[in-house]
Amino acid sequence: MSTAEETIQSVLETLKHDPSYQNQLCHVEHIPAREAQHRDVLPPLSQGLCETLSRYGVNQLYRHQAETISHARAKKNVVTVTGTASGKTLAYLLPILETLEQDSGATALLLYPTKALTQDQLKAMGRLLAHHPSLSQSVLAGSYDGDTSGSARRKIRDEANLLLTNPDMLHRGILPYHAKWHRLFKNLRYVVIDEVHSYRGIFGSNVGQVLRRLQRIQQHYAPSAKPVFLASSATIQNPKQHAEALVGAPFELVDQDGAPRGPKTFCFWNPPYLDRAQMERKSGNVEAKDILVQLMQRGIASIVFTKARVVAELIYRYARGTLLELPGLTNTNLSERLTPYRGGYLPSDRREIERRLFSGELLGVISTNALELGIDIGSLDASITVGFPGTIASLWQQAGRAGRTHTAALTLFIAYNDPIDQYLVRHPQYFFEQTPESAVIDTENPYILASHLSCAAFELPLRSQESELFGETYPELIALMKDVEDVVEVDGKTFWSSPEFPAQSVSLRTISDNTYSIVDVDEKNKVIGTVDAISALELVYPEAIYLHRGETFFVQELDLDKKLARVQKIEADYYTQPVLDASIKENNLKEQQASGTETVRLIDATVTWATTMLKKLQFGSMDSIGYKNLDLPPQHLETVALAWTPSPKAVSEVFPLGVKVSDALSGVRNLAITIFPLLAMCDRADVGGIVNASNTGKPTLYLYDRFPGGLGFSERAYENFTDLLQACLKLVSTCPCEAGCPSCVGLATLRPPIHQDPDALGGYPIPDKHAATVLLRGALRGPVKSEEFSSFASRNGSP
Amino acid sequence: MISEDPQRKSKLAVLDALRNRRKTFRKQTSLFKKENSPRRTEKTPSPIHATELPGREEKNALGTFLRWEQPLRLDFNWLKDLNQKRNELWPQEQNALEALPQIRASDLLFFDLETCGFAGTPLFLVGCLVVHAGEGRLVQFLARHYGEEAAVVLAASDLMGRHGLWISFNGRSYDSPFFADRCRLFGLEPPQPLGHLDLLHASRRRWKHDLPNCRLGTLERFILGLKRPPDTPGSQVPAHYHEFVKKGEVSNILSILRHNAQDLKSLALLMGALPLHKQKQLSQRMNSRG
Repeated sequence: MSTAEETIQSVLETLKHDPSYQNQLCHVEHIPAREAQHRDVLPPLSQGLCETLSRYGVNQLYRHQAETISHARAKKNVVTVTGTASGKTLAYLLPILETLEQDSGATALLLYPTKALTQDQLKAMGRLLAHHPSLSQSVLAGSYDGDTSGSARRKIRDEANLLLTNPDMLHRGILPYHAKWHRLFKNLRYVVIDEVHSYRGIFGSNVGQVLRRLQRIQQHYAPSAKPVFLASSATIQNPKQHAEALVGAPFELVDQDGAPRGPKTFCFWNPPYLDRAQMERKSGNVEAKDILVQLMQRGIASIVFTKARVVAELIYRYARGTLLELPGLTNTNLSERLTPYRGGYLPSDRREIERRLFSGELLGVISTNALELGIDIGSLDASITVGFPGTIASLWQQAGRAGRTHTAALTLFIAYNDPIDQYLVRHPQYFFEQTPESAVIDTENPYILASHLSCAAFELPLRSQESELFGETYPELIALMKDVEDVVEVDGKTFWSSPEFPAQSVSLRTISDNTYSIVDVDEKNKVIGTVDAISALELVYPEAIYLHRGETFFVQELDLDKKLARVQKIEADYYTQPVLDASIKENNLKEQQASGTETVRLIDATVTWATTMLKKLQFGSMDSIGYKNLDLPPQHLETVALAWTPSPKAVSEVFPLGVKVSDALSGVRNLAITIFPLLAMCDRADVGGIVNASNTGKPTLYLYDRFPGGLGFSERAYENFTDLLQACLKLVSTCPCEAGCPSCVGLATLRPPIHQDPDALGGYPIPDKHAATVLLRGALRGPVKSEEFSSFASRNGSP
Repeated sequence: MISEDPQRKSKLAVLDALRNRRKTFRKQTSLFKKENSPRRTEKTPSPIHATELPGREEKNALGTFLRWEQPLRLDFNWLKDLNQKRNELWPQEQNALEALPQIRASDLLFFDLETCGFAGTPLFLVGCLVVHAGEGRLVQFLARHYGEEAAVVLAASDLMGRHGLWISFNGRSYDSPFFADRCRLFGLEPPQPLGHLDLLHASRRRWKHDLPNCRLGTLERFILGLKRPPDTPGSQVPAHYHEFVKKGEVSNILSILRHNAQDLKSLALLMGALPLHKQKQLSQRMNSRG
């Protein structure tokens, strides 16, 4: 047994023998070590590259790296799916550098989902390139995004061989100005798409269109060339199919991870009950803190993943407090080797934390999922995930952050007192046997496609033969664009014909681009952090306690016009939580249809949410010490929704069960949201569901598109309503669980509590499985199209 | 999903969404504060509306376009002065002329583009003013629709490439890079002058402290003493051109052609009015302050 393994075992033993231990450790899964699999590339890499690699500390390539290089040399697109720190960057960089050795004018475009990851990868490339005898002089790598200065932009545009950017910048800042980038497109040999799994749902469907536009522009400048796409992905169910859908071209799959991996101990940890009645459990946040402190005291480098920014701050504050109270000077120093990390910190602060993590200066970090993506923070020995992050893939990805090549690693999942978390710790095999979720995109979504065809027409006139790139609805969409006079056709080509700049009004993501600044009034209004416009009203509302790097700031004022939150540092012994109120208003009936006894409607709806109150909670105990009403403007989403008020007949079947109809309907909502991605080709997070009776006086289920104006998801569910109910019924009646689980009536990705402490929230109860089943059966009794349904189900498989 | 006929409603929904999204977006941003010309629904006519336009159709390797050439009586006596006193010019201007030891009238090319707006949009008119056999000639290349832009760029590029000294107003940062982008788009190597004098910069150096601003209209009024009737405001030019292509609104395009010609004339006059002597200019400034 290696020392690291001993350390990890002894940590577990210590935790178990602590006098306060109450059987929290409810499952231990041992994941065995994996040997390295090396492979040579044939023909071998050049002398220069071999020297570079050996100076960089790499003497042999892993199997997946060699396979990726071989495919790239054969000009085949390839998606590489391997673990964190398995050398994916090297796998896609080596073929590019090999090409650059032969052609110093060649270019490559590298896309990353976030600016932080771009910066990280740029640094990594710099470190590798520095060792190359000639490329270190001749190759320019540069990032181009919102943070790039004006003078640097020009140089990068005119000279860079490796251009690192994000899809949003490509969409708005590069493709519309392609003539300025003619050199890049003329010489484009490779397109790298890192973290390809993050391009899913609405965002992914948009990125798919941006990549099609990219291919048009590249073809315009170099009609005889075809760049090779190199993608990398975390583990998802469908990497090859996903990459192919995204780019619209065939891909090779490399998924045999050749990097060695030490053994991993994966533990499920359930905080103990606080009372005999077994109602309340100890705080998951405090349990996470206790374990983190134990790990740090033994010198084990650890990361804690939290579901909300506020939780990262809370655990940091608790842990710092505990470390400072421990006897001995080393423990005081330990508190300085711990930091929180989350979105909303200034970019410079984030870069500094990343640097300190990478160098090993820091021993512990408490992060939101901001560190889930591939930013290289060096190797850590232990990871703790507090609360189920929402997807199987995400929990594996977080667990992957712990583990070095040869030593043992520890991963802990700590459950909140939330039905989903509690289900997982009661049924640990459920997690280990589930395949990670699929990434779903729809590159034929007419709403998204129409937006991007406008952008494409602006960039270069559209030709009739471009159906191959944009799908079979292309001619019809062009006709629609002519109807609104955005384009005109001249000599068989369709030209953009409006003074507007279409890319400006097309956003790739659902989140807002608007940002609020958080300024410290005692420090001459220095900006200490930022927050997006939607979150501002939930994080820095007046009289909130804003937690920033463990310190408490009192929000004096939220200035909606200037997009400023004025805060002042104070010593508070409490934190605040927003109390949100969400509602849906039916506006306009678009259509309705009957299916047997049931009537379903397609409506224009306004989803409204607002922070109505703040709740003050004592640090640690979470005791509520007061409320305050707030008068903040509500936020609205004007969208399209499906509305279903179950008929009296269907409802009458639920009555004898003694379960509220709204509870049964909530179960159906959760099932429907699980089915949605299959039916509407979107991500679970792209749709929302509400059950209430405020519009109709009767319990009504609403499913809506989380996108202004709608993107056709609810419309599709409306058109296939009977199929939807059938699929829900099949899913719930074939689920082997007893009384409901996250795979059936349990897990709805309702609006994630981005700024709420799940510990204080308690989660949503799992609705009654039987009642949902009875309601579905009641609604479907009538004209049932079972053959059609079974073909739908077999096409899409069961989720 | 919208290929089947019963789903015509989906198509209409997409159409609605296209319209609505633009509407909401207009509300959100100041860029589109002004509603552009009202949208009409009648069938788009054929895009070439040549009959009522002056000039004549020409053809080159990249297609057809309209060329309108007019003689222009202009005084070029300042050229002699420029050649003699170039050492007294501001250093930036001396640098711009460095590659032209002796400037001949045939080297001169004043130019001004009319475009559909910011970078990435098409250009549709290149106006050039050159000296031929001692006489001024105004040459305008017009794309009667978007498809003719390539031929316009090629024709203008030929003319521009044959002249060593370009003179423009804000052309160093706008017109010249814009034109180069459009050349590259059509696979042409952008022409390069031996020297490029930007009269916006030259005017700022001379009159920054004496005039409210150095816009061309301001210079025309205070330096040249010209009074110009109001014509198409620059911000409306792209919308007018799109309307012309879609509907054949010839009056607007005629107004833009005149506007472009007048700008070029003003540039030539401004060149003549430009004091060459740096010292003299400084003393004038002192006087005007005293």
